[in-house]
Amino acid sequence: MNPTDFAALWLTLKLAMVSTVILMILGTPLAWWLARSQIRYRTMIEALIALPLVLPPTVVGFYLLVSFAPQSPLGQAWHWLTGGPLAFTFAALVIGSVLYSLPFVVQPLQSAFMRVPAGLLEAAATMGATPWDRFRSVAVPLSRKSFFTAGSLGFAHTIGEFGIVLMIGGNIPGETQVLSIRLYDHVESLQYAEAHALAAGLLIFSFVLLCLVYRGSDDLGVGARNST
Amino acid sequence: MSLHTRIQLTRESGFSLDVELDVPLQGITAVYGDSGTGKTTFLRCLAGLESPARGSYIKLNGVHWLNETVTLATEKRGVGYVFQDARLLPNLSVLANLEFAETLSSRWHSGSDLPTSAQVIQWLGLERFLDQPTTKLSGGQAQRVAIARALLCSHNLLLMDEPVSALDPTARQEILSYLERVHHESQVPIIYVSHNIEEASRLADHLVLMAEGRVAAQGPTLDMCSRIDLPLAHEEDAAAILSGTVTNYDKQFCLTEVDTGAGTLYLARKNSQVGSTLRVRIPARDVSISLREPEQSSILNVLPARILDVDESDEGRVLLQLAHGEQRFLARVTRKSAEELQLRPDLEIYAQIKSVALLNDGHATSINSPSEHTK
Repeated sequence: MNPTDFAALWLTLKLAMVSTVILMILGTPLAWWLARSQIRYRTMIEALIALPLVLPPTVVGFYLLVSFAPQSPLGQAWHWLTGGPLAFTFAALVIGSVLYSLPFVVQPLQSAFMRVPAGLLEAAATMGATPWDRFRSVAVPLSRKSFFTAGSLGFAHTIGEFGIVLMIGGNIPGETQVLSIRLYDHVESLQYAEAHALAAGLLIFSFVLLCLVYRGSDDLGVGARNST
Repeated sequence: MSLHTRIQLTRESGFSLDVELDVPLQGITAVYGDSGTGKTTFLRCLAGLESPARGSYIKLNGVHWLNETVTLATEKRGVGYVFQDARLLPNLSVLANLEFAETLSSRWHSGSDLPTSAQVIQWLGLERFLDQPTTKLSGGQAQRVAIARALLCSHNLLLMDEPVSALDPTARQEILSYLERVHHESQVPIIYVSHNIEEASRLADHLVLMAEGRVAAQGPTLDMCSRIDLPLAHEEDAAAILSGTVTNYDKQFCLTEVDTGAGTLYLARKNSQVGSTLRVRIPARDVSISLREPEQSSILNVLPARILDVDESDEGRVLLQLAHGEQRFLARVTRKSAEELQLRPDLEIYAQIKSVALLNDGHATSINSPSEHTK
């Protein structure tokens, strides 16, 4: 691995970490809301969140690229805030990753929250628990494993993304060149040994992480056992 | 302590609830009625777990919980709630469940004279499994923990929704004994929903009858059970409740003498403490009528009584309301006997009571006169 490879590795990890943190912060309340509230347009919102699961990443990437353009409202707002363009920056990658990995975080959390027995939350309310207490002291402890699953899937999926990054980030070493793109470069220039190192690394990492996730979800913890 | 409430609610299924209630709230108030009459919904509305329709109100001890302008959130009402299922937090031990409840509820209501956790642990006999995870408990044990937990949150009121209906008969009797202890030790008023009249009459000081979403009648439990104008007395296993004091215990025959205020009842029991008060249940069908004092009978319990009222609405049988001193009880006889004996109000008769069941001490075994076994 040469220094450019290491830069790509570091950038990928940074992107995955930042995206996972943002995903958990956004995904948790979103999942709680979808699991608990009786809203009319719930299926529409759920479908919207799930879109990246089925759409080619290039479709998402294309629309993001268009909306990140300097003339677009988002591009202009970004320029006003930071003084620079949004497209082809690390920030653009983070936004893209968050959108693209959202279903991987929201879905496990939502189903975990739906398994928390409503009766327990009612009982907690009679004991004096406010809605926030009920979430924090009842729902979260019972969904612990799903938080791990959601975080791991979001992290792993961000590391593995390619199409969106290429569309909205391009291929700028140290700024937007992530591992998957670096790998693509190696293959393009027929550097198979270097490609092998990166590919095998990603493969083993993803496999180990998924093993951990599935082991976690095998015994989904108290929340799952007590659902009726 | 008083509760003034009116709960109105209509469901899409056509079910409608309109409960208007002014009750003194002392000790246990039982809300009794068949399944589907809206007892649980009423209780859930009291706790704020469900929202009744406009025009409903709840006022407890002068404080408005619900009216046109106020809706107090469940967590601020200071009610303990025991559900049919225990609903313990599965990730915490028994003790941690109790502490969880105590911590949460103490934020809202400080200074009320709630029992301490040490007290409720003792009342409900939880010492042995405090450290156990709640997932390891039997149904009866879990419900005891749930009752203890609810007691720690019952700043104003303790609501119980058929807390023993999901349990097997042994666990049920056990929990009822614990509830009697709670009734005795705790100061908090309890509203107890049940569709089992034996349970309700065993525990309750005040009885509210519900039918089809409305309050059919209410009053002191002992009066309610012997009123022949109420559907309660017309049920197949209708029974009156008498209360009395143990005056003597005959070791030789294992016989307890209970003074009911105007006469003595004998109960076959293993042991009784002289001076303790108890409630006995006298089924209407086990009371027969004699115009003269019976002699040489195996039936020990014969009370002189006066017929207060006669109900002939049933075709083959006649229901009598009898007065024995201050206490009232029921007798059901065939129409043929009623005519032959010319039973009518104000007639002085002798009531022969074939069975007296003890209601409150955990062994509500039906007891026949001892000599009957030799027949």
